[in-house]
Amino acid sequence: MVVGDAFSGGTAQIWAAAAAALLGVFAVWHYVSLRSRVSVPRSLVLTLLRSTAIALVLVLIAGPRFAQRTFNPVRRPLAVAIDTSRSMGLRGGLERSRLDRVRDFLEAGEFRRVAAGFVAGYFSVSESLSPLSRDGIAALKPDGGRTDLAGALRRADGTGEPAALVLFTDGGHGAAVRAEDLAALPGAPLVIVAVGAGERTIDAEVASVEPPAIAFAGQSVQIRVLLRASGLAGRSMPLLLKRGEQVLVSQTIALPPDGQDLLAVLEWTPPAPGSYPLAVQLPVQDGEQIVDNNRAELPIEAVRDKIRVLLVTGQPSWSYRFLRGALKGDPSLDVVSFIILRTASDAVDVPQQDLSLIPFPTQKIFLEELPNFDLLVFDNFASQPYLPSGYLEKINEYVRRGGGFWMLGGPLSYLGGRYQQSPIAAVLPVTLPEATPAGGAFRDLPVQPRLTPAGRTHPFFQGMADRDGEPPPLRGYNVSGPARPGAVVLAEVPLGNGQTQPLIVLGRYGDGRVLSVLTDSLWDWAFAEAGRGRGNRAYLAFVRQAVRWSIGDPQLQPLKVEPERVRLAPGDPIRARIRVLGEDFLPSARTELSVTLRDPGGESRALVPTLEAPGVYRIEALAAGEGSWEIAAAASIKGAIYARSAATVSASWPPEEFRTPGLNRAALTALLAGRRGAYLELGATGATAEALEKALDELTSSGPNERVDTRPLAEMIPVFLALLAVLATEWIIRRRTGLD
Amino acid sequence: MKTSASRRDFLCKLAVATAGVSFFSLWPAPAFGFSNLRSEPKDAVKRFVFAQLRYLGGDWDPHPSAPAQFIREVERMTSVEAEPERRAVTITDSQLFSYPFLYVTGHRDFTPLSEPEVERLRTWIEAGGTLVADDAAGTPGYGFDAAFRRELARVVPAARLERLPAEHTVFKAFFLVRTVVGARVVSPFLEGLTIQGRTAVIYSPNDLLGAFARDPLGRWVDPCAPGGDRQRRLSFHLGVNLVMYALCGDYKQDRIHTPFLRQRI
Repeated sequence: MVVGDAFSGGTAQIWAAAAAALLGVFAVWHYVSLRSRVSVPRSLVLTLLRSTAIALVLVLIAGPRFAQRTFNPVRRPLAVAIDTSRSMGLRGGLERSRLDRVRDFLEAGEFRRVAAGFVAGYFSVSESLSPLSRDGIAALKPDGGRTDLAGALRRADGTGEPAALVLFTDGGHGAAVRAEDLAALPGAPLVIVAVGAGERTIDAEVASVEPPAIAFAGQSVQIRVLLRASGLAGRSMPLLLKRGEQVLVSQTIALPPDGQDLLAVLEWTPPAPGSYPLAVQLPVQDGEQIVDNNRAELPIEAVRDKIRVLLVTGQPSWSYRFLRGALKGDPSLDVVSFIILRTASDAVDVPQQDLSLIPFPTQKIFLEELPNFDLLVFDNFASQPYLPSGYLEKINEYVRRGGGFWMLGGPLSYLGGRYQQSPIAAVLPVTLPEATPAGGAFRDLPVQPRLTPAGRTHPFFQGMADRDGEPPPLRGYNVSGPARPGAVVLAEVPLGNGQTQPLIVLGRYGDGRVLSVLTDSLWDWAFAEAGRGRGNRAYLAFVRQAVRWSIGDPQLQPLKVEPERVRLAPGDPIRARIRVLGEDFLPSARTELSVTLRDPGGESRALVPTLEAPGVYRIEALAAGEGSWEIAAAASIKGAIYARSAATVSASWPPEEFRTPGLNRAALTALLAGRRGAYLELGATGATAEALEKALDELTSSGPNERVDTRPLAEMIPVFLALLAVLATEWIIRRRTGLD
Repeated sequence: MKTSASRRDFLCKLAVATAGVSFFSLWPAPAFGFSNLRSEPKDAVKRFVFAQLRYLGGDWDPHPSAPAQFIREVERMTSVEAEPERRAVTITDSQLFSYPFLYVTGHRDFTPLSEPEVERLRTWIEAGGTLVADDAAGTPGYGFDAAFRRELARVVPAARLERLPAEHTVFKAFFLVRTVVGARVVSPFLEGLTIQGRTAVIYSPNDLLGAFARDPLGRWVDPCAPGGDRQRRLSFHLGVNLVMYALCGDYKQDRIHTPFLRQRI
């Protein structure tokens, strides 16, 4: 229905007045000039026609527009979005949940009256925006996962360009809404109807857990836990540190008043190196609606304390000097070293009091304290006459039970130390002939060693990347038999005729790891290499990697489980890549890989890994529920497991959802920053509907259902026709009058 | 490895954070005359080489017979296996980086090192070499003393020679050395240049090598003044300690030695 038309010319009224004045002057002049040639009536008529034509031309040139204001009886779209995230299921001490209260309001007559002026479209919103039928509102459930209002609105499709968007939410999105998300929101005005005001929340919350920066096996760690509570001030309860269902630590705390934090510190000692999927938990209290935030996952990786190395050296040498420097330079090592500075055949001309030498406590070391070391190194050391056979049996047992052992070469090692007749021989990864071969037990001559294929890829030699696989030359080697079956030869000395002498060999003895180095001149890899401009990188890398291999450091295991993501939401896929090599650090077709997945309840099931590339497998499984999921892998050859690895992923709902269990006013008002909108809180039905109606009236500024259309006047054909008619009439009169 | 109370006690005693222990075995006691202490002849493999720096100008070898005598004494008194003859090397010698111990001595000023020599000697020191310098003239501020200090300042400009304190490892590396002497006693202390906790350059102003020189008939070439034979013996002790310090580093600073040394010093 058209209720009004109006011309709206230009704003320059002065120009219009001036044009009118000039037109009047023109008309007078025109009349006077005609009056002497034609009659008065004709002069008046012609002047009127000419003035009219000029006026019409001026009007067209000025470009007035035609505005048509219409009050349209057709109602405009109104988008009504309802937050269905999990926090909307909270009651906050009231009888009805937040979502129920929204439903009640939408069903009320007061809201229906407000909505009657619009075509209301309904949507559920959590991580996405989904259209709803009016009847679908009754079936809504608070199960939408986390709230991502900005993301949902940005992804909204089919909402058209509504007059306004009305959003019912509790603001459970927390800090998840960012400025760039807000900028991408649709341009329609936003009316937020906040849900949750006036609730009385009962909640105990593990707000945050600060794990230790590093955890050492056998040393206590402090776990700092930040606690918050609503409606439970002063209530005492146990704060638990758990692994699965096993309670590791229980500490009684008193919850803080509303709005305050309580810092609790739990102390726990990892018993051994490894992964510990732990959780900090508060018991669920009566009336507590939010239980997810009573628990926080806390994976801890415990590593070894300082690695304790016992270094026994047969005589002062450059081998000792540079080895000691490399070991002492590693802050993760504790080194106790013994050097035989003087033997019984060495003569000094002073009393014992003038010597700095001290007794070697062999009994204390080898019979009592040996198990407390992680690695025993014999560096050019002949056990006779210092260590009787019983001591060597202890060393054999120490290695069999998991201790690391190195025998470094020199004239006092291997055959030179008569180890072929000792319990140590069985420990070594190289065989020792019963008799010393012709030429002696130690060959003191320059040799160029070479790396075996296993050595070229082994972590021990990562410092030799710039040598193209050729290690630096050495100045001698110990004679031995071939490597034992199962041992891994990393470097060897070519002897000609296809014969080789093992030089650096790895082996296992029981649970222990053994390194044999059949030379005493590895220090050339530090000092002589520096003279060649390469520094001591190759030597340091070898020593430090060898120490870690010897103690079974997970970083030097040929098996690694690498999860794609360690923090997931329930329902997300667990994906991991598993890298597995043989003991020689080369991909091995003989290796069998088994993988299991342990769920938060402690149940394990086997997974089938998919081969992706040689030595690389993938697994995928579903994190069906919240908690820690542990992926454990084992590599074996012929049933004998030689490496294990595990990794833990944590599945939980994003903590932001329930970080603030009450109404999150700050987050909601932040949504309105820089855009047209209004903030209301859902209260009494009538008052809320009235406030909503008022907000919609204000935000739709041109009035309800009003529309104004404008178009250029020049587009109107009648105006042109009128101009033509005026000019034609004037022309006809002039012709009849005999004027030009 | 399991942890035990005894371990803690033991480690406390050893103060294992930086522990390391040198050893003189009391079992079996040397006095008991065991003859099978070495499984190889003592001259089987010689790993310690007394390398002496040969430089241009001056007199690089004022005591030609002294190194061999000194090496014999080192072998006689300690378990070190040493080459019987010294090796003379220049800084540009391709074998320089085979010898982490280098002795330099002389009476007089010598030709300044070239820039490549300075650079190479710096690399040698930083890589772990131990340079022992000995002023055979015993004339501080002149001759060899001035020349060596001048060249050392070029090689290691960031550090300088400083007096070594009495508790320095070099004074307890094998013998407990309480008096710093040589063929003469110009100064009662050693100086040293320490890089990253390691004393890489040790300077003796007392003509230490002069105390070891013998003529072909076995007579001492130079007298030791003013202390005579006792001063010569103490010079050997200091020399042995220099070798031990080069070979074993600061092991005597490991805290396990503390209670033993406290009783004896």
